[in-house]
Amino acid sequence: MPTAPPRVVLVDDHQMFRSGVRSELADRVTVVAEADDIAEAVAVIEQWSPDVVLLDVHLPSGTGREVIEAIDAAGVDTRFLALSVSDAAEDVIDVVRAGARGYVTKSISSDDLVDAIIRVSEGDAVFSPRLAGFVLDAFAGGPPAAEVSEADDDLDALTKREKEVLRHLARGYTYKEIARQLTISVKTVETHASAVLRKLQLSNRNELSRWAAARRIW
Amino acid sequence: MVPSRSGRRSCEHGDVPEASAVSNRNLPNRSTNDRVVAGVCAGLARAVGVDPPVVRIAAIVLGITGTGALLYLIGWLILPPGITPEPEGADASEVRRGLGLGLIVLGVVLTQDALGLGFPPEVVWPVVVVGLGVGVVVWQVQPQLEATRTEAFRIAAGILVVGAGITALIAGNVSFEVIRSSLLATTLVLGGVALIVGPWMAVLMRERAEERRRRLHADARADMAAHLHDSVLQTFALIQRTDDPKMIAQLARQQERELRRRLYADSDDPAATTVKNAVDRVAGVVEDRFDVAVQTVVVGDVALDTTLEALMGAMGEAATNAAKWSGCDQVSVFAEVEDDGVRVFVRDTGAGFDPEAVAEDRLGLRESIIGRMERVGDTVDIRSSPGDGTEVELFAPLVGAVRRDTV
Repeated sequence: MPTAPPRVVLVDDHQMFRSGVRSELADRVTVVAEADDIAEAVAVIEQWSPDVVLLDVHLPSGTGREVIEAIDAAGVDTRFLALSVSDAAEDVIDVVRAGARGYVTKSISSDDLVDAIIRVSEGDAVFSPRLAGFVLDAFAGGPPAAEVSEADDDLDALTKREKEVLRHLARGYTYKEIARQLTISVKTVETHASAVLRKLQLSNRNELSRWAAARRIW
Repeated sequence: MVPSRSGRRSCEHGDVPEASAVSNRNLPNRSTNDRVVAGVCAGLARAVGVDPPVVRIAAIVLGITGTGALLYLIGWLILPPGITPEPEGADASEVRRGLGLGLIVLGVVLTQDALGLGFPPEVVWPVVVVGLGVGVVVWQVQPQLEATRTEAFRIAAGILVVGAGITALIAGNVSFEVIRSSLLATTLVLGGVALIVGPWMAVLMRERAEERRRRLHADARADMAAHLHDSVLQTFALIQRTDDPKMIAQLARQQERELRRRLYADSDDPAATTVKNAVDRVAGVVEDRFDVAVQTVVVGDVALDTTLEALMGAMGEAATNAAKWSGCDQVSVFAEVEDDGVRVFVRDTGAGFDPEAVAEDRLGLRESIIGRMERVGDTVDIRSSPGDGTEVELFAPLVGAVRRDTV
């Protein structure tokens, strides 16, 4: 990266985990501050306005979603990368819908984590295989956009290409591998992933709400 | 029906627990084992230390004047049920008790008639019959009475008696004045009782509900604590005594999987055989047997049939191969339930191999994956080249099964 390493705020209620991440990332990203609950996180993020906030989904006083909403309301320009041990679809989808730019599990390797932070700082979406699976599940059964007649529904359906990218992500492929497999550029893969994320965040109709209702998420 | 005969016998022989013996002596309760109506008399008799029949006769005498019945009712409501040690009336069968009740009622009616209290018989008898009927019905809802095979009969008899009473009242052609005054009196008495007892009953019921809720909560906590003790604490203990980092990682993974299954399990039934459960189970087996992490992603879910079972078996073999030969520490399994079938990808980013060059006698790939799948009409596609990882794509058509959208 020719640019300076991204400035990161760590929000997690486990001191051990924070210091672990901090030491692993030390030379590749700049951890400017840490926080262990919602109030402190909001204060610290407002103070530093970092490039990326590594945000735990579960905090002692609430969920990561509340941090994102408070920061949105305060108008701070930053990007969130959700980081959690949780495997529950509702936790993940909830924080991503609130505006997180990606989701990774805590078992991620430090190389992959650095990669994810840099990608999020540049405005891309980061999908762990599991998140890709959840999203596919959420949009499952919906008709591909090409066959949708109503313009309104375009937003809610994934295109064939987006689904293909998601499937590869769920199968454990990296963006680079997907680009080679589908013979498209890495940039195009990133565009598709971002589009999926945008649809997930904006979508409040049809498949997604039905899916959510079936799981009593919202 | 008197419950727990043997329990009572042991009471007789002095086997009563200390606490209940004490409470029997000092605080009146309602005898559940020695009773004619609700055990109030027996309970009181125990509390004051006289024979139950003495109290019973006193109650009947009081009952004739009217106050006894009210007192008995209040006693019924406020005395907690308990066991009185002396099983004097314990052998009272249903018939004997019914007979006793009948005699009491008959005595009360005859006595008030003889004393000339002034209720004409055409009012008294229907009221008695209706009362008996209601009594029999109420008897059914008493929780300490066991459900018996005669229950249906008793309910029917109760309804019959109530009906007969009402009919007699109407057919008796009683003057409107008399009915009104007796109804008014009954209403007043019942209203008074309700006023006295109502709030207390409400409090009691609320307390009981609260206690129930608390107990459920405590049970859930105890259950979780027991589980954590059996699993997580044991694993921690093992990890502390282990020096081998591979072993530690394996223990941690195993524990994590178990805990996740408990916390996020979709189904209460761990043996439920759906694609999702099967994939997780197979992945768990491979993780335990080899030192790799198996990442599973399942989209949609469907119940297993023979075709899908073959698919799951082949998937396990493919994951095993990846774990054994690829040399990398992570295997991805992605299963998707599509409209017409289930597609599974098993992928690693390890050594890779040339599928064309696999010797005929290598049973794992030839037999366990390809043979097994083709026998049930499934398809296999293996993409691999040396140095570039391996991906095995398996597809099994859905036969008659309906895709389940809810995972």
